Amino acid sequence: LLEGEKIKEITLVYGVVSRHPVRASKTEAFLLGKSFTQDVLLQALEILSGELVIHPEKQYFTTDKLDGKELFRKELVRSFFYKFFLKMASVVSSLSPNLSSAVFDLKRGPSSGKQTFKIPPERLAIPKIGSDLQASGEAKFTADLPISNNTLFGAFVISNQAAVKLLSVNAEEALKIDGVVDFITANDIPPNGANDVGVAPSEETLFAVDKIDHKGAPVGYILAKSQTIANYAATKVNIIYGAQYETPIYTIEDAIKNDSILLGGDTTIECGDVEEAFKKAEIVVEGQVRTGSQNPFYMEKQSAYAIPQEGNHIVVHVANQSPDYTRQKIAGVLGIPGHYVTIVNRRAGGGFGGKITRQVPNAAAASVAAMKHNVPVLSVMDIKTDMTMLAGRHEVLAKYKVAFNKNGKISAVSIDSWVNAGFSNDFSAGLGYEYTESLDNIYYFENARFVTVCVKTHLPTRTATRSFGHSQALYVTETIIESVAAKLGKTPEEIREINLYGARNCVTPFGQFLDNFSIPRIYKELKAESKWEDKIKEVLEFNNNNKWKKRGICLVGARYGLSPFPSGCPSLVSIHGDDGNVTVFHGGSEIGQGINTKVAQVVALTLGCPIENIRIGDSNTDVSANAVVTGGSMTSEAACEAARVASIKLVEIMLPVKTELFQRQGKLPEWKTLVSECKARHYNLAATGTYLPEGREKTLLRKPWAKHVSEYSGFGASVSVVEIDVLTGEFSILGSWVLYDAGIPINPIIDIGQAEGGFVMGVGTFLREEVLIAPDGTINSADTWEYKPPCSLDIPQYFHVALLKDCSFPKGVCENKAIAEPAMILSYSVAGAVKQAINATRKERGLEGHLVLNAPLTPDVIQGACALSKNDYVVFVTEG
Amino acid sequence: QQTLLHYLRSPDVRLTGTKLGCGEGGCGACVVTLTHYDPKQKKLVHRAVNSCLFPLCLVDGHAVVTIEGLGNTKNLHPIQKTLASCHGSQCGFCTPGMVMSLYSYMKAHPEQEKLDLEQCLDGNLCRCTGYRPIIDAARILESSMNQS
Repeated sequence: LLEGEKIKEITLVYGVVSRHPVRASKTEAFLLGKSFTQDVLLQALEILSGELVIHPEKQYFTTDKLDGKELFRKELVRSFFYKFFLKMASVVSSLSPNLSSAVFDLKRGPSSGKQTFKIPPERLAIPKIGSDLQASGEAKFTADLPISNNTLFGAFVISNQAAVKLLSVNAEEALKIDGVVDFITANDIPPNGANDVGVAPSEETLFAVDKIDHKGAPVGYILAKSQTIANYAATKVNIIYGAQYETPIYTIEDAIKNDSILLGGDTTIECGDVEEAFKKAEIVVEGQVRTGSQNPFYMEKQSAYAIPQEGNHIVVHVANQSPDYTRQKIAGVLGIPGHYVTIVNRRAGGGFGGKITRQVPNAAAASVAAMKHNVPVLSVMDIKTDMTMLAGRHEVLAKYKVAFNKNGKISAVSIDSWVNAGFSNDFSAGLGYEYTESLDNIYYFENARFVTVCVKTHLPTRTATRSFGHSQALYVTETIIESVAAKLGKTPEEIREINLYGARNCVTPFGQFLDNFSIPRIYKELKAESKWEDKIKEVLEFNNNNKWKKRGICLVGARYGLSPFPSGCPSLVSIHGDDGNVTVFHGGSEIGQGINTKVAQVVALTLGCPIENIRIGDSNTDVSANAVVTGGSMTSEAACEAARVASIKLVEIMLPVKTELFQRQGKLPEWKTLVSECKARHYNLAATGTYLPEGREKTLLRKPWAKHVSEYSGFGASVSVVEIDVLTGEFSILGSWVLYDAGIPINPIIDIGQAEGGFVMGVGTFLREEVLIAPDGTINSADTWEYKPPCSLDIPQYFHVALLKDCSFPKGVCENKAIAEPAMILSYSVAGAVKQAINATRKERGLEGHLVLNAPLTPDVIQGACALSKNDYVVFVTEG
Repeated sequence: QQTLLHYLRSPDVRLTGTKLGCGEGGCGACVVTLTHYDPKQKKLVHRAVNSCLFPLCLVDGHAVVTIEGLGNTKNLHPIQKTLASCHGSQCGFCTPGMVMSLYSYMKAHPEQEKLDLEQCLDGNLCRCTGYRPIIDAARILESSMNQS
C-alpha cells in the first residue's frame, strides 16, 4: 500500500526458502515510509539477504553441485525482491524501458507450428495405424492384458548402498503382510539357471549375492496378490549390509583418480599430424566441459507379464525393444532351452533406449517367480524403483585443445574424453565408439585426435538412450566452436561455416566418405525459411532495449552416423488366400515410432494389395527369430526392407498364376481372385525376408564396433531464438526452425512426428532434465517432483519442422534416411541460443571472458552464468 | 487406502484405458473426469483429477467418466477422433489422459466465450510427440467449440 510515493504498508512472504513460507519482517519494517530510490533498494537487499536463511534442500547437493544450489536460491530471493520493488516503483513513476524487462513475464503466447514436407504420392503414406485404438483407450499395453484370478504381482527390493558386503536379507516382516506370497531371491533361480542378466557374461546379477556392487542393485523380489501390496511390502524388507569392500566411486573424476577403467571401453580416432599442427598454430585454446545423464523417462514404466505354459514353456509379455535378447537372457536365468521362452509384445509405451537391455531384470524376476509358483506374474515397476535401479544416458567429461587461425579456421583438435559407464559395460564400449566417431560433427578437422575412455563407477549401468553418444559429442564439439568464436570475437555461426566439410574434403577423421552431404543446401534453405538475417537484427534490437531479458539466436547443423544394429530384422508375410488379407510379423518393436505403419505401406505397395488388408502381428520371438534390437533409428527401414524382400518372394510365387489369369481374362486379375487361385493350387503364400545392408556381409564378420560403425550419415540443421530471464535463469523458446534431410521419406507424417518429439526430448537433454546424484551416489530425482521432462509449455512457441525436398538417397532403403535420433540433437540450437543470450547480458555488464557451461543448462546454471553483482540492481539508469 | 485408479484397473472392473504412469500425480496418464452437484452454485461441477492420487472413498457422490465412457473405436468421441487424426499419439500411453484433460476442461467451461485448451494440458506429460500435434488438436477442438 502506497501513500504518495512512499510505502505505507508492506507484507513480504517467501516460499521455498525454508520449510514453510517465511515473512521478511526486518525488511518490511525497514521499508515502511521509504520511497523507491537506489539507496533504499540496496539497503533492503542487504537486510533481506541477512534475515532470510536458506534452508538446505538435501536433494540439490549433488556430485556436480556441491553447494546444493544454495547460491542460486539466495540469488532468487534478491531477484524476486528486485522484481517486486521495480513493479512497485513503476506504479509511482515510469520505469526506464530498459528496466521494465525485469517486471514483465517471459514471453509465452499460444504455441503454433508449421510442417513442410512433400508426400511422395506413390508411397501410401497413411496416418499411423492404431491411433484410434490409442485415442479410445482400447490399445493394450502389457499391464492392460487380461489377468486371471491366480495372477500374482511382483516388486523389487533394491539396495541403497554400494561396494558393501551383503550379509543377509530379512523379509520376515514383509512376509507377514496380508496378501504377500513369497520373497524371491537368488536362491530361487533354478539350479540350471544363471544369476546373470547383463549384456556381457557375468557383469550383472539379477539378485545380489554376498556383495552389492552398485547403488540400486536388486537383492530380491516380493510376490503378492496385488501390485500395491507388493510395492508396499518391498519397503518392509530389511537388507543387512556388511563392511565396505572397496571405496565407492560416483564421479568420473574419482574413477580417473582410482584408475577405475572399463576394460575394452576405449576408442582412439586420429588423423593428420596433431602435434605438428599445434606447433604451427596461430592460436590455441584449451578447456573442459561435461554433459550430464538423462533418464529415458518412458511413460510406461518397465512392465512384464510372465505366464507359464505346459511342459516348461513360458510366454513373457514384455514392453521391450529387443525381443530376441530378452528371450536369451530369460532362458539363461531359468536354465531352460531358449526355444522354451516366447517373448511377445504388442506395443511399448515408449522406449528411448531404456527397453533394450534394462527391461531384462524385471522380466527375468517375473519369470523366475512365475515358474516357481506356476502362476502368471505381472510386474510393473513403480517410478521410484524404475528411476533408481535403472539409468539412462552416459555422463561425459571432455578436455579439449584446439588450434586455429585468426579467421577461425581450425587446424587441429585434440579431445580426451571420459565416459561414465556405471557399474557394468552394457553398451558403454559401443557408446564410446559412436561418441568418438561423431566428434567431428560437420566440420573438417585436418588434424584430429580423439581419445575416449569408459570409466566404471558404482552407479546403475548407463545404457542406450536416444541419440546414443551423439548428444554428448555434439555438445562437446559445439562448445569448442563457441570457445573459438569467443576468443576471436566472432559469432559461433561464423566459425561453424568456415569449418564446414566441403565437396573436396568430405572425409571424416576415421576415414568415412560422407556421401550426399546436404548441409550446404540445408543451411541455405534454413536461413531463408527462418529469415535468419532479420532474426539476428531483431535479437540485437531487443537486447539493446532490455536489460533483464536477453535473447539469443543460434544456427547449428548436425551429422548423425546411423548404425545398422537392427540388421536382419526378420519378417514373415502371410497371405490368407480365402479373403486376400495379409498378416505381417517383423523383427522390430512398435514403441511409438510408427514402424508398423511403414511396414504395412511397403508390403501393400510391393504385393499390390489394399493397405486395409494388412494387419501387423505382435512382436513374437516364435515367429521372428533373431530379431536383434529396435534402436539406432534404422529399425523402421530395416523392417520395411525385410518385409519387402519377403513380399517380393510372394510376388514371384504368384507371378505364373497372375500371367495365366491375365492371358485367360485379358486383364490383370483382382488381388482377391489372384490369391484365392494361388490358394486353390496349394501355393506357399507365406514368405520370410531379412535385411542386410549393402556391403555389410564383410563388415559384419569383423569384430563388433570395428571402424565405420555407421552405415551412412543423416544431416540436418536448426535455428532457435530464445529469451532468458537474467534474474531467474528461466528461458522460453520463441521459435525453432528445423530442416532435416530424410531422403525420400517412407512416411513423412510419421517422420515429422519423430523430428518434433525428438527435438523436444533434446530440449530436455540439453536444458531441462537433471539427474540429481548425491555425493553418496543416491539418486534424488527418481520422481516427477524433481525430474522434469519438457512439458507442453516448454516447447518452441513457433515450431517449424521441415523435411528437405527432392533429395533422394539412392543407397538407402526406399531411398529414405532415418530421422528419430538425428533430429533430436538438432535441439542443440536452443542450448546455443541460451548461451548467446547469457553472453549478451555478460557483455553488457562488462564481464570479461568466455564461460564454458556444462549440460544441462538448468535455470541455476543460466542464472549463475549471468553472474549478477550488487551493482547490477538499479532502480533508474543514469544515462552516460 | 485404495485409489480410484486401483479400483478402475482392478480385476473386477478392469477398465484399463486409464493408465498408471508415475503414480504420484506428475504425468497425467491417469486423468478421469469427476462430476458432482454443487448445491451452493446449484449446478454440476466437472473437473479433471489424477485418479492415481484420488482416494476411492472420496468418489462418493460423484459421477466418474473414464476414457471408455467417452467413446470407442466404433464410435469415437470428437476429442478422440481429433487427437488421432492430428497424429497426437505415438506410443499412445499418455493419449487417454490427454483426451480426458481436454474433455474435463471443455465440460467445465461450456459457457466460456473463447476457450484456451492449451492451458489445460500442462499437467500431462508426453515423451514422444513434442506436444505440437496435441496442441493442434486442441486448437481444432477450440474452434469447433467456439463456432457452435
